[in-house]
Amino acid sequence: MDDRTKEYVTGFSDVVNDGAEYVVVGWHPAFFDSGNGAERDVQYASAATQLAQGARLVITSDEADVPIEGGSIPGTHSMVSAILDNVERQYGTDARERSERGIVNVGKPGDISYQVLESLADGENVLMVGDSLNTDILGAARNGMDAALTLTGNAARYRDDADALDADLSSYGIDQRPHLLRTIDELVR
Amino acid sequence: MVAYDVAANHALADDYGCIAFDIDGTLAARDATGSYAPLEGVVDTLEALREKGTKIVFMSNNPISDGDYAQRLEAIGLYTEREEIITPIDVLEHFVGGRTPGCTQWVWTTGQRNTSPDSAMS
Repeated sequence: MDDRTKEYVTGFSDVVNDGAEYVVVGWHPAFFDSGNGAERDVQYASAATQLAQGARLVITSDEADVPIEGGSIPGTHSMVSAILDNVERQYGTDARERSERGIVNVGKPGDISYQVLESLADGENVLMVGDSLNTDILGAARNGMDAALTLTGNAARYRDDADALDADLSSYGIDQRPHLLRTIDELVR
Repeated sequence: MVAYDVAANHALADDYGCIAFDIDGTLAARDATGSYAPLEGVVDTLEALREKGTKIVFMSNNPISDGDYAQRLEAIGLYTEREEIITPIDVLEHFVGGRTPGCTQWVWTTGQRNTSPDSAMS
């Protein structure tokens, strides 16, 4: 990634008003802070316009919530919903549906990220290890990879409750229970 | 409430030439004092895997660059190469076929400027 690309990823000042191919939405802690400056407001306005004009919506995650101490706050999914609502109000239901149909998730469990993983693995047998059923484990299952769930982070609630785990696996459509790791060193012990 | 047997993982790593790890909640999290730190056993496990020659990949949904992520991990004592890290930004580059985004083609609505662990969410 060259410096110019990086600047576009992290900066807030470059707004395209016409002819964008992609609108990229990534989580940001200040998304719901309306007092954060006109510059960002212009970006969101431009996002809706570009999507209505046919730009493709790329999201870096589709997670509903971000866990924090004592609860959770809205995740990337909430930001995407807000932008799509804005598209619909300004440009109508058809524009919203077109934008939704074209969504590409470049995070987990999106297929493209697992293709990048396969290419890094360079023919080696891959194990995906993570604490989230709906990203780490689901993406591995969809892409034919073995997976191990660490019973930490998001999955700590399954530590002594196999019924809850099996119910959630079923709701995500994951047929096979992943390996379970109480602590990560069980991989090598 | 049904408990289960997790003892079936003996030397699980031996079956795989490549192991990909999620980061937040899997390798690192906030500890009781609120600071971001590796979880129990992580440092030793990664070291053991490197000794065995297992290929290690770090795969996060945090929309920051692999270089920034490598620095973030190094700050908590997890040493990585940026080539071992996959973030949505790397995947995005792959998706568009390695093209450099230019201002006539792209709108970046949001992204994380801050590389501190405080923004380690997705």
